[in-house]
Amino acid sequence: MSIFNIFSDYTTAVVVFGSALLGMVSGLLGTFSVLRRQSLVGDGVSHAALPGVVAAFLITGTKNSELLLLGAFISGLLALFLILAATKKSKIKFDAALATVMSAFFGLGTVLLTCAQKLPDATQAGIHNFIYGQASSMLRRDVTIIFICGIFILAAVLLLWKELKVFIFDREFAEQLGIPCKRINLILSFLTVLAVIIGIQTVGVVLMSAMLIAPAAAARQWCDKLWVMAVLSALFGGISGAAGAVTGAVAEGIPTGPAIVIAASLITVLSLLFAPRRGIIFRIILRHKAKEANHNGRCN
Amino acid sequence: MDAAIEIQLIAALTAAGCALPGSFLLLRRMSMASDSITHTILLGIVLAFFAVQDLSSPILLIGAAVMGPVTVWLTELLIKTRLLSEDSATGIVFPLLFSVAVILITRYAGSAHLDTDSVLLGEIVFAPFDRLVVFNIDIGAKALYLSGGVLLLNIVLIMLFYKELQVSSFDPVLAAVLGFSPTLINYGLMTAASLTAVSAFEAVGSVLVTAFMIAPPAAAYLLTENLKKMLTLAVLIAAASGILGYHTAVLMNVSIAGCMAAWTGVFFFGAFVYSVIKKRIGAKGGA
Amino acid sequence: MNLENYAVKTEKLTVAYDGKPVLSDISLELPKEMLIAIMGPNGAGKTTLLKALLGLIPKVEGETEFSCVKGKPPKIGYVPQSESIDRDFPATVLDVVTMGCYGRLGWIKRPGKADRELSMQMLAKMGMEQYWDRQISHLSGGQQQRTFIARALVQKADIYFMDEPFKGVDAATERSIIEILKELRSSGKTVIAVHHDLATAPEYFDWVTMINTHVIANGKTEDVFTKENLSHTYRVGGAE
Repeated sequence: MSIFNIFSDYTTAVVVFGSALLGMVSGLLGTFSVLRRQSLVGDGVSHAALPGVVAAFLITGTKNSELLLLGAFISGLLALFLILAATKKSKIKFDAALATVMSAFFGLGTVLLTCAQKLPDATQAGIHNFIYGQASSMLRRDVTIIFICGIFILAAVLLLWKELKVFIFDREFAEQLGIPCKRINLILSFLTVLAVIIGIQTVGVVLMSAMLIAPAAAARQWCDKLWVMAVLSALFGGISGAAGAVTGAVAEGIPTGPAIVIAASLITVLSLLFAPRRGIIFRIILRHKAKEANHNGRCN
Repeated sequence: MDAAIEIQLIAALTAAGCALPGSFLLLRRMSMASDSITHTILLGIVLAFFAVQDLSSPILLIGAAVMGPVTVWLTELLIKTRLLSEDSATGIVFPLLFSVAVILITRYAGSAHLDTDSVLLGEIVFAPFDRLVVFNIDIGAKALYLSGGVLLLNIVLIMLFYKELQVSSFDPVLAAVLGFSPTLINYGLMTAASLTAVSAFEAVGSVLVTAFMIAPPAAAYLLTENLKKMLTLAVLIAAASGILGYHTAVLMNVSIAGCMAAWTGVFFFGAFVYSVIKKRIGAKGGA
Repeated sequence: MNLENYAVKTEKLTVAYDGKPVLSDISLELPKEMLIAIMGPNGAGKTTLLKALLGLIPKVEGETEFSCVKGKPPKIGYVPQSESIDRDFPATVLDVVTMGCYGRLGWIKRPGKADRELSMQMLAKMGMEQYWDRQISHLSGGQQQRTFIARALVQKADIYFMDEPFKGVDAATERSIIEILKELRSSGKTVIAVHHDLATAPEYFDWVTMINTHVIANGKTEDVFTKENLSHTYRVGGAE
């Protein structure tokens, strides 16, 4: 397929649109994960979703996306609560709790999967899609789900904007102001799990975490304001999603999920290098100037 | 030897081998580095495969083992710019390397039957079929020697460098002042972890290696306040998860590796409940 | 005898994070056999100065030089800031103190009976011998600091670097730590400590270095510890 008739092809247009939308949603929420230094939560939640997906399939016997997503959502959320409870109630650190819970859940998922494979209707494709994602099989219905979830997430973020802002920058201060931090934390976790879950189908478990982190990390380099960062991050996510999906459709043998991740990583690397003030190249120039200034007397 | 016993031995040895470097990763708050390297190993295998064009070559394992320190190096390169926090840097590097690996496989290695599923998920059931034959005598499954050898290597390394690992994990500044380069120790540990992960993924798959590296040490960490006891307990819990996992899997006719990982989770949960109850009792006794 | 009477000397030391200088053009000579306080407001770069002197962080430019003790480079002892310690780390008090021997042992060699005995001796000196078997999270702030001072003593160093040794400790511990510091001085050691408490500084320390990104003052306590220097150092904002 050539790049010019990509949008005349309905299926491809759906995939490109869906991936862009997904990138925007995860970019938006990634802003919060990255600023809270909990970037790897997405990775944990996406792995932990496996038993939920398979359990939903085992219980209902359908491959209906909504039900599988619901299963994924529940098990992702359960894993997140276990992680938070373990860090709060014991001396275990966040990273260790995350690694433990996500890998144990994933193990349980593969166990359930072997049960599912014994059912007459099952195919081997399930786990494969779950790990690598299957963007090219995205249907209009999937895009609708992403769209509805995206609108919901956007509305929640806008509605709680002020609270989220204070909560992220200074939790103690937020508590003094009477902002219900526990509830905000809960809602944020809920939204993050939601964003991760709707993305797994497209980019897969392993790569979903990059969808949260890379656009937000790139956006961080260009600005210091939260709303600018959120908008930029959503934009970068959207561009990565679309670029990856187009690459997947045009180039033979390049899977969409990894293409999206590479696009997002590319944006991050470019941002790290070229962003004004923070960027690496800018800093090298600055250091040269500072050295010269130091030799000609002090400046501050 | 009976295949069932061989599988159990391989499971126990593999899991125990992972728990040792994993214990120090946990103490250094680098648990997620294990998740990161177990994914990027795939790229090491793919690149090595392109170089030698032979799936059974040991070069593939070397390529995979080298990828661990490379991943850490790339991640630290990003952290050193001070533009990204540690978690973000980790979360950018490994999906990128993994993506490159997946694209290379789908685009160029499709005909070579480089089976990514076996790397990611592993299949311990097949381990006994690959025999080690010396002078025409079958002396057991190759995986048995591989996992046993790696466990032994880890034990020897930790015995030799126990004090260096202890001091650099606890107080890296003191370690540097005393002349034990924390960077050197860090890369040494990551190389050992990477090698261990490579040896384990054929049996349990790279995704579940994280379970054996972190969950048993995490459980042991909650059960004791002594480093040597923690290491011993972690190894025992890992080995027990391997054996229990095997029996559960056989009983229910499901995935062995998955059951092993699930058992590590059960042990962790048990240790967590124990530590909470102990704390409660301690608080009441003190009041 | 060594003719040079400085313990550490730096010239034009500059350290920057994110392109912003944390330490700028620091030139200092810190004398031997004295108790030296590094003082300055939060964010003045005190801990950074300690680490830069120890060569633990990359610097933009500058030289650091230690003067030799008996013809050899001096041995360095180190006491970390108490907050930087992971109290949940599975280590007992004796484990922590024994780490002080590791430098002498070099790679691979394990501490032996003599090392443990020395560690117990130093613990006894700090009044901590009955707690040797405790895990460090079960210690009070003062007990924890005593443990780390004991570890520094085990190092048998020539120059001791201490990052806020009096932070979070009780009055009794503070007194016993200052006794130890004085003892170290009279046996010819140098102590360089980050210190916060303006009230106790003139009493505890012989020499004060005040910094706020730049060096504000550096000299004997009685010469340097003046109202003018203090207000200059602690002035909010700092820069012109």
